[in-house]
Amino acid sequence: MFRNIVNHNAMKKGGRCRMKGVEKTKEQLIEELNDCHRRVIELEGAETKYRQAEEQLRRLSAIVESSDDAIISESLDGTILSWNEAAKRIYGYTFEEVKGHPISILMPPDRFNEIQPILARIKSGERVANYETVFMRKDGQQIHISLTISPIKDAEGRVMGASAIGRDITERRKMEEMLREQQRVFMEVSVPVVNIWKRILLVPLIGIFDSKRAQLVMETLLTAIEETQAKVAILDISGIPVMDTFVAKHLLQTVSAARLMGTECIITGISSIISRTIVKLGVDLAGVVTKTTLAEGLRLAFDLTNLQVVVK
Amino acid sequence: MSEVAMLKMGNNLIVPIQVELHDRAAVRLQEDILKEIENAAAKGLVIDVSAMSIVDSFLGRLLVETAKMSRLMGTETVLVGLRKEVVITLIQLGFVIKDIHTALNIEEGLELLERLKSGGPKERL
Repeated sequence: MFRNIVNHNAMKKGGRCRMKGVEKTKEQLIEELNDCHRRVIELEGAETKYRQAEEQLRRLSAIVESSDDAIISESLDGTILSWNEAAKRIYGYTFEEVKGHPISILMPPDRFNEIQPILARIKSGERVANYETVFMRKDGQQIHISLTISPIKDAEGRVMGASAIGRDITERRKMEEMLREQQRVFMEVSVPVVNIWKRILLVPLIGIFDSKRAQLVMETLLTAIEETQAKVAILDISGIPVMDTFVAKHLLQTVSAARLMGTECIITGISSIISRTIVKLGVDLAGVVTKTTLAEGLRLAFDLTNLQVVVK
Repeated sequence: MSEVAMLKMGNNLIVPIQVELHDRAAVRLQEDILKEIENAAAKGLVIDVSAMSIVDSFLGRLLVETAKMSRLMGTETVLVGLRKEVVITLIQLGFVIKDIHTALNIEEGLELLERLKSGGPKERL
């Protein structure tokens, strides 16, 4: 297009052109115009790049804004620089309220001392992942937050700030606590000791037998022995799904403890699978009386307490 | 003499330990028990520890030792009345009970002694 205009002008003025009082040859003009042409193309390219960058920026900020996690950027001294929608929702402050404030505005006073070590790690280029702490909302309510703080670097790779992504884990914490509480309740009810006959106790063991349960079983059984002065205790393990060296060890400990008090223990409910496992594991149950069925265990218990079952 | 009383019932000796024993007193008690067995020619020994809330590994070992010593003198020993807390501590300390008989109370202890002396069916099967 430019070339056409130049050619047109050149024809009109007879090979000479006068611009702003400076006379130039046709070749000079063509050269200059070509130069302009190149620069326009360059500018157009730059604009496209700029538009792409802008597009990219818009997309990234849309991601930040629409995130469910609170995303804050801060300077190296902990001053808040930006703040997304989720941050507003989770912490209760608008960006205008916290702009330029230190990040400590979000922390309860007793946690102020946690900030400096984290900033120090960020300054050295380190990333702090899933750091669990407590933040204080604008309304004073304390919330549990899992923070991931990463350094933001400039083009030369120098740390110039930090991004802090916070996830509200208050609900999760509540659930965890509820779970723990339920576990506690479950533990309490899960060790029944039944006084099935005069001086004979039955302890049906059910479920996973971990060290906490094992301890509880031992204590509950010994307490019952003290109270009832039982001569025989039958431990029925048919309800234990997995037998391993750990379970065996705890069973043996419980048996030894009961014996120290003067009470004989009988382990019943040893199925073919469990007996195979015990032998394969090389567990030594020697010295402990074991029976397959509860009935047989009970018969033995009667024997030991000088009782006899008679058919009517 | 230690301050622990020793009661003779038939040919059995009953030693109810009513005080907390420190190490030296425990060693003296062991000596006294063995002397008394010799003097009274007792055939059975019942040591009642139901009043003790602390039995450490030293005392536990000493009691087992006493049982072994009296067996050499022809006397069977039964340890009775171990309390729940004591038992849990001993188990946690890794105490083994192979060499000592236990019973719930003095009455049971005496019964077990009769069975042991007559060589009848033992408590342990």
